[in-house]
This record gives sequence, C-alpha cells and structure tokens, in this order.
Amino acid sequence: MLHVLYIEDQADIQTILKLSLGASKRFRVDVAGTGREGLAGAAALKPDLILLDYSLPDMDGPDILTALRADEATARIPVIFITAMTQQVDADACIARGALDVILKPFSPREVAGQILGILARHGHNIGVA
Amino acid sequence: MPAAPLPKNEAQRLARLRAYRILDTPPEDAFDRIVRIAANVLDTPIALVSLVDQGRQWFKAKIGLDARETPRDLAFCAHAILSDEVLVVPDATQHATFADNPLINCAPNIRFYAGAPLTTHDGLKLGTVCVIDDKPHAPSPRQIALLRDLSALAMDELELRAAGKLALEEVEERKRIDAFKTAFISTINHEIRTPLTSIIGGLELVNGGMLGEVPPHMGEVLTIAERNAALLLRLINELLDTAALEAGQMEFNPRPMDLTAMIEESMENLRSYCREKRITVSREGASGITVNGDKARLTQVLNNLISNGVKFSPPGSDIRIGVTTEGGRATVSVSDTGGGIPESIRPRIFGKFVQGHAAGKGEGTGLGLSIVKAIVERHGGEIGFETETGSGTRFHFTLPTL
Repeated sequence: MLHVLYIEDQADIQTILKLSLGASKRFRVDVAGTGREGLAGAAALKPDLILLDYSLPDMDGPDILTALRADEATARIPVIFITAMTQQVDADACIARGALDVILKPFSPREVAGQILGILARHGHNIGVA
Repeated sequence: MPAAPLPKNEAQRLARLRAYRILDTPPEDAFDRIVRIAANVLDTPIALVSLVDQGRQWFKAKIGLDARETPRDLAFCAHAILSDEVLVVPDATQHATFADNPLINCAPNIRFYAGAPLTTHDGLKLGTVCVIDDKPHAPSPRQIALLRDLSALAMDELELRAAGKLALEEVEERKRIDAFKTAFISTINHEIRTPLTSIIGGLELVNGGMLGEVPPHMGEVLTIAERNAALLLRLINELLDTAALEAGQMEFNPRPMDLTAMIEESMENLRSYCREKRITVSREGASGITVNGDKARLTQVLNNLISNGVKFSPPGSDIRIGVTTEGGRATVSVSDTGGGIPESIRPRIFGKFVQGHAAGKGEGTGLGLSIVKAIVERHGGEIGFETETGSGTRFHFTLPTL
C-alpha cells in the first residue's frame, strides 16, 4: 500500500481523489486542507508520496514544496502537483523546483492511479508497484 | 471699470480649457521660454501666459510678477480674449476702457498692455500671451506680429501636451485592460475547472463501476452526463485558449522535443476514443526528429487533428500520420478517409467558430482549428490541408527542426 498525503482545500475534490485511488486498492490516502496542516501532516505521517494542490488558502503550492524540502523529516518525500491552474503553471518550472510532475485537473478517476504510478516508476520510485 | 463681458461661447470655452488640464499645473520650460522671449521682444518687465478661467486668470508661465493668479474682473486678458486680434493698449491711463482700472494705480501700475489670444483650431480663446509695463509703449507691427507668433507657439505647446497626455492615458488604460484580461482568464479557468473536477470525476467514478455495479439504464444516463461534462470541459478549454491567444497571453515554454515520441503519446491519448469509433491510427515516415516546441501545446495540435480525423471518418477506417523532413523543417500530416471538408467552409476552415458538417450540433465550439493554426504559427510553422469530397482530408503542418 502506498501511503499518500493529499494537500487540497476542496473537500469535494479530496473525496473524488480518495475514492479514485481507493478503488485501485494500492493507495491509502490521508488529506490535509491547508498548507500548514499539510506540512505538519507530512512531518508526522511521513507518507510515501505527497499530492499537492497548487494554490491553498494559506500558502502557495511551490512554497509548501520549498518548506517540505527544507525540513529534514520531509525532504525526500516525492511530490506531485495536482492543479487547475493550467494557464499559470509551467510544469517544467515545478519540476525544476523539485516536484516529480504535474497532473492537471480535471483528472480522470480511471486513469489517475496509473498516472501516479507511472510518474513514480519513471523517476525510479518503485514504491506501490505490486 | 466694468468687467469684460463674457465671450458668447463661454461655457464651451471653459469646458475646453478644463479639458486641456493645464490649470494649476507646475511651471514648464516650454511656456517659460515663451514668456522670456515675449518680454525680450516687446522690451517689457512683465510677460505672461495667462489662462482665463471662471472668475480668475491663472498664469501657466510668468516673468516679472509674483501672483500665480488674479481676479478675472480686473484682467486685461479678459478683454483680449473677446477679439481675434492682438489687444494693444499703449497707455492705459488714456484708454476709454481701462483708464479707471485699479491696476493702473497700484502694482503692477499697468500703463502698457499687449495680449495675443491663445486661440484653439476651432476659434475658442483660452487666454493670452501678454506683456505689461508700467511705462507706455508704442510697439512696432513687427513686435506685435512676433507676439502673435508666440501665442500660436504657446497654443501648439498646449495641443502637444494634451496629445501626449492622451497617449499616455491610452497606454495606461491598455495596461489596465490587459491586467484585467489576464486576471479574468486565469480566474475563470481555475474557478470553472475546480467544480468540473468534481463533476467529471464523480460521474466517471460511478459510471466506471469503480464504486459498484451500475444498472444498464442508469449507466445510459450517466454516459450522457459524462459525455456532456467532457464536452463542457473542451468548450471551456477552447474558449480560454482563444481568449488567451487574442490577448497575446498564451504562455509558450519551448524546449527540444522528440517529435515522434509526441506523436506516439498523442496516439496513446486517443486510443480509447479510436477504439470506441472502431478506427485505427498508424504512423509512418521519419523518426528521431527533434523540434523546439512547447510539449503541451504541440500535443494539443496533434490531439486536435487526430481526433478531428476520427470524428469525420467512417467506422473501420484508418487514420495515417506521416512525418517527413526537408531543409530544416519537419512536416507532420494527418490523413483521414472521411467525407472531406464541404466546399463552403474550406476558405474559412481556420477561422473562429467554424464547424464541420458533422459538428455544429453541440459537438464543439468551432475554435479548435483556429487555435491549432495559432499554435503552429507561434512555433514558426505553417499549416494547410488538402481535401476531396467523398475521399478524405489531409491536414499537414511544418515545424522547424533542431
């Protein structure tokens, strides 16, 4: 089981993603609704993967990523952005800051688990691959 | 002394004076120069650029006088703006109108006054360029002509200044509108995409059977909802892309890309759509070609051309994607065996809101190909097509290779 922390302020989207990943039986998902909760959760839970919204009420996604990287406890947890801000987000710039990749909203529940596992595999993270 | 009567067009005159937005502005060199020359030419201690406002005359430029403004009812200039000609008062003590003007007996003890009206192109007199002395003068016609020229020069300065201000305001306005458009497009994009994520995701979760078996009649309804939610997403994407292109705000992040890999990925993206329509897509031609492009945008071009081909092809047919290179350019073509593009829309096929025969009934915005063309052109490429009624269409575009 891949332990995922999803940092996302929209409760509806949290639910959709939890159900989407839950259906594949390969993921266990915890959620955090703000950047601060996300940082605290990441340090406490030490998840295998963090899925990160680009824009949260208290912090921007890239700032959260920087804070995760700065903390020894969370520095090596892989991060994938999930964002609706297709106009402003340059995927390559996110990757340059240390994210593995960017998944665009709306994501497909049928495909999102495969997408995440594909991204992890491409980066040599074999966690969660049965 | 009676105050000067008001000009017949006083209301219009005042409105125009205000429109120049010159009143109560700081001194400016151009006008200061004019009064220095006027004082020199007419050999007077005082020279002014005076603007006759409601109840006062205000000096844009002045030499030999401390006051910034004086009451209009005593102003010689209030008289000067009543005529097209230069008002010349050689000795005010001897002048029928001005003999009892209080300014004769107290500072500046006016004896000589000459004022040339500042006349707009349509004849409104905003004020004067005037000279004053406490000694009588008998100016020569040449001096008066020069004063008139100086007043024309001051008027030109006023016009230039107004035009410059207007241009500056236009630039500011343009910037404000652009900033609004950027904020509008990105807000709409984010705000619509967020609920659509829940709608599309929710429908797919249920209809995909991921939460349990779906009864057939329920599945039918869910499929309709799912298809229409997907359509809504495409419409929003295309409208936002068009708005961003129109506003010159579509971001391009070009990087060296493997063209063949992009094509393969696009074919993979559309695999389930093709399967649904029982259409095969095959690729032929050169490989190992690198282009400098924005991956997401070029994928959008490929997806659009391939899915158009699929949409307009009969079930069981084949879409062929070809790649050739020549002289530093790669050409990608997408050929279908559909019905061809109707003659009536061929000339406008890359225009906005143009729909093919099978579309137009709630299947698209008719913006896809106009976006595709703009993206190809932003990459320094060209796009074109050949089509034949009944036998198919071949779209092709070029990209500079690395």
